[in-house]
Amino acid sequence: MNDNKHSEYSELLDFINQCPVGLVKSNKAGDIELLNAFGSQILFPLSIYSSCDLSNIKTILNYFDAQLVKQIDSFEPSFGPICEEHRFELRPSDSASLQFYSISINKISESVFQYVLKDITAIVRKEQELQELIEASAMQAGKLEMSVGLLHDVGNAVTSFGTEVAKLKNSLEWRELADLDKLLNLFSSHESGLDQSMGPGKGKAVQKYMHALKNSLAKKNSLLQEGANKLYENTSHIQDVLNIQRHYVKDKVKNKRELISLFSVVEDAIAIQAGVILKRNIELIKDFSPKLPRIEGDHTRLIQVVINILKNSAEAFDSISHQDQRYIKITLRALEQEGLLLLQVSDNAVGFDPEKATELFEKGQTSKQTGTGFGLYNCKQIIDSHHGEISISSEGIDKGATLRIKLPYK
Amino acid sequence: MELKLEQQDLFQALEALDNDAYDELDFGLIKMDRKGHILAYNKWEAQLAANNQEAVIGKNFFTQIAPCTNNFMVSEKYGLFQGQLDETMDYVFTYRIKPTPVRLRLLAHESSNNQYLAVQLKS
Repeated sequence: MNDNKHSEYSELLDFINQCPVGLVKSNKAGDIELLNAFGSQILFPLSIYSSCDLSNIKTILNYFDAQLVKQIDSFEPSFGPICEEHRFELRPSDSASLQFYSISINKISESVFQYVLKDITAIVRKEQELQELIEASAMQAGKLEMSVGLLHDVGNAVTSFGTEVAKLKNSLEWRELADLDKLLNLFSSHESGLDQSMGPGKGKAVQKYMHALKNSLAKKNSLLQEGANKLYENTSHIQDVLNIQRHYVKDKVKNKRELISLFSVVEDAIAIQAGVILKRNIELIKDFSPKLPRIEGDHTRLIQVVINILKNSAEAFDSISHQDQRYIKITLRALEQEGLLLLQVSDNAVGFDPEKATELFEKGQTSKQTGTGFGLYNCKQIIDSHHGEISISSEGIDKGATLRIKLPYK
Repeated sequence: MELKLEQQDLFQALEALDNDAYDELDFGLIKMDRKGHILAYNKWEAQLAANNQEAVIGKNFFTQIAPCTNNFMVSEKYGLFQGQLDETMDYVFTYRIKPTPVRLRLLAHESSNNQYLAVQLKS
């Protein structure tokens, strides 16, 4: 070999020697014929721990991964990759941390096998750190899911509790007290007749007794009403607190969806808002189609929407100028061709400027003098999350308003 | 004076010698600073590794010249020793990418900024 060639050869050898992966050439039996510096850097410690000298790579590998050696021996093609980036590990001592290696084996011919070794300890550590991070965030997500589930379940329970409280509250409007008054008036005008049939002075005594009875009942009724009102207020407060928490976790987890009846959603909302409606002497007209299909959704959040809409409608009567019979008409039917359920709430209350219809769904927008403007915005968020549509229209001030919600049932 | 790889007090003996004396040794010798930079590289080692004696001066032995020693068996022992390091072991170098069995002696002492690696071919 002349000097030039010799120098090139040296350079090539040096290049291979310094290659930053371990390169090993062996024969079929595994006897090491060539080994670069990194190959030795990796293999030598392995040979020590497998208690054999650094002469046969299969003997060394057999200590760490006998299966891999079987794979080499059973490889039938005359050439090709036997394994790629196969991993194995070594613990240098009890106190030392694990070292990780990867090996790729390539059969070049029947008598030439090429091994590429890498020390992947740093990479594996990073992977482990990443895995720990993933597990930690999964645990975090699990906790979040649990809180969301809890909020949802407690929310549902509180909603049905609220419905019962509202029913109780409404049932405490005792008309019998007024009837008792009428009876008392009747007795008062027939006092002498009572005296005749029952004995002198008895007419007065009966009236006195009935009067005391009525007062006692009225007192009890008022106490019960007071109690029911407090219960109602506290339930509303609990619902408000839960709603705040729900909004906090709203975007973090997909909401739980189940098959629900929009009919029962609307009935529950009416029960809760009945007081607000009756108080204003508003006639509630229900136009519900029977046997409506169920929809996939969140019962509690949809109730919030309907409650909000009924409340808006009822409060819209507070600033009307006309004297017509007040009404809120609720329509519930299926739009079969479109696969949608339509919930429509219309009233003959104050209405609004038609040009402002779309603005009303924006955060902070309101047509009410004392509104926060979050009601309709939140309704839209909830309906959007159910893949539905919500719209509101009015022909103008004092001409009433109509709100429409469409929710898919297929 | 003829030094042997296995002899006692090899560290002190090497500290007393100069580069010319290192070239007379019948084993390979690499003298480094505490960080592994080569201070002297004797003739025996240069011939076996086919390296130019002057060209390697100042380079890092473990990472640039002999990466085959850059593991917890050799380089890390220099990095972690306390008091003194004097350890003899059988190893395999890759001179011209041929696996070559050698005996190594790793030497360092807290009193000096020099550390040594002595290399002998295993017969």
